[in-house]
Amino acid sequence: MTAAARPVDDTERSVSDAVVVVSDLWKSFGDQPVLRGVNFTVSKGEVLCVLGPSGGGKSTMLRCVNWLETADRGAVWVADQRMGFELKGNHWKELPQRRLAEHRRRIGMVFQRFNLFPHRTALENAIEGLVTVQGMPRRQAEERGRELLARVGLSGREGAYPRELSGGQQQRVAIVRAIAMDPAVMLFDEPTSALDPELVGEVLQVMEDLAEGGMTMIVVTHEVSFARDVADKVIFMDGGLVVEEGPPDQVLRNPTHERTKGFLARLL
Amino acid sequence: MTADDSRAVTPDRRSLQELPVRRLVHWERPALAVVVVLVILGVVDLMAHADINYSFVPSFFTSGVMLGGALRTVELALVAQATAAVLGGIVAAMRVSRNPVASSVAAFYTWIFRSIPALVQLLLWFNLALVVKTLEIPIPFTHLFLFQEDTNKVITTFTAAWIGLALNESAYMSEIIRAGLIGVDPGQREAAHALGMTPGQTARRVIFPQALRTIVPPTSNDFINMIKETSLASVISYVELTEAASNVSSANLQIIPALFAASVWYIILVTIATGLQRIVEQKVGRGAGDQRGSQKGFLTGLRSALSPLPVLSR
Repeated sequence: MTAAARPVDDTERSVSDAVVVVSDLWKSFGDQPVLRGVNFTVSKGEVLCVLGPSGGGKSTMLRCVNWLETADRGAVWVADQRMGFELKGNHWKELPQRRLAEHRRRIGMVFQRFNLFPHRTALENAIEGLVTVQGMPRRQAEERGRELLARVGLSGREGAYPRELSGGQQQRVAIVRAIAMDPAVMLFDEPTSALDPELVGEVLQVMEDLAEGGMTMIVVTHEVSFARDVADKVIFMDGGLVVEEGPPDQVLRNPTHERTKGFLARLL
Repeated sequence: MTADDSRAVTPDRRSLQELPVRRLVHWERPALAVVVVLVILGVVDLMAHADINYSFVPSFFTSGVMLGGALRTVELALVAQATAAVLGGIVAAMRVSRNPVASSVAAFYTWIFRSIPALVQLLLWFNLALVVKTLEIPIPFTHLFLFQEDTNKVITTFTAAWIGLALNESAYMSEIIRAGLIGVDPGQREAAHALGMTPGQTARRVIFPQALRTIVPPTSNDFINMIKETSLASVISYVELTEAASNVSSANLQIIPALFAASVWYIILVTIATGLQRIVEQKVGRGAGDQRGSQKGFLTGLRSALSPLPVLSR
């Protein structure tokens, strides 16, 4: 695959069940190019794993999906809506932060360093989006929050502050905080990279359960085994480009590109 | 040290080890106590032999003029600090914003109001009527005024003191609040945005509650300073504590007892403010494990404020 730009075209966008369409995404920090024309599609219920070396643009690409990072060129479509823009007659109007916030409500994100709100308990973290963003009555939100915390094995820890929880528990709360909003797609930015090795499994298990429940997911990770077992599709990113794309068996077992081969050889 | 190490000690060393130990003697501790007692005795001696009529202190302390002065000191300190906090918050928000115009205006504001002494500002505002006869806000394209008033009516001694102290303090508050805002982990803003929070919700629910933890201690410090800085208003004849002290003593010229009475009032007010600080710090420290330096409840807070006095501290 080359850096050649694929035009934003409506036929691609409306591909039956595509939840996320990333189309010709370019991004530079200063004069340092980070994304150089990234394209991929994620269909409903699909789990996409993004592998690749550090500095290859994986995290930046993911942060562009919910427009935390604005791309210089190209578009991200989530559930048939172009992130950060609104079609006004014959042009795309850039949206102010307040309107952009509405676009982000259908996307859940889990960060490498959890980023839980330290001044709120596990339950309060879990329901923050429901109460503040969706305006759900507190009692109802708490009920849903408890139920979701129980589902990730955190019953009884509702009143704990983040600093009183282990990394794995914090990350599970962070996942609950995101899925409570009932998102169309979940983004995971190296969710297990900041965890002690023995805590990685409990987080991966929750993610696997989510995938089995039909959640559409984009997972940037170094966990090759997770990619092999859970992903429907794997893309390999390097130098700001999608170098390789395909089902996990193909990308992980028989990579066609030298860079993918070299990377996987070092990991396995 | 493991058991192996102790077995390695030769019988020779073992017997030497049995000799008694003479501990360090801290001579400096009683020595310092003696110095402290001597200094206190000296001060007490000085105060006892000085020509001070102490019988005036309690009556000044409870006189109506002084009570009114104490009340005005509290009132002025509160409104000036509150105004400064609001203005400082706005200026801090402008300073950290990505809007270059807003941030340079904020930087200019802080620079100018930190540069001019509070006393000079008080005098400037108080004398505003010398150069501007009427204060007015015209409604554009009409001959009507939204607001029009004689400057002398608007600028009383109170409003001059209020404006002067508030503007001066707002420059410092803006820096305190800015420090609090930039001290919050950038990941917190991202997490809030990723949840779909608007900038307003992010500020209210996520950034500000966390920034408060770092904002409260220096703000309390400034407020305590403000309680005493209100004494500057005495130069424009606003009857706060210091001016009240000067007034009550003008008849009999018992200046020092009057200032003592005022000092006791300042000490009481600052002690109360210190106690309140502990309570507020505890309130905003939610979820933060590090409670070092903060205390539980008002009485312990009060006691810790008095802790330099060894008799009262236990």
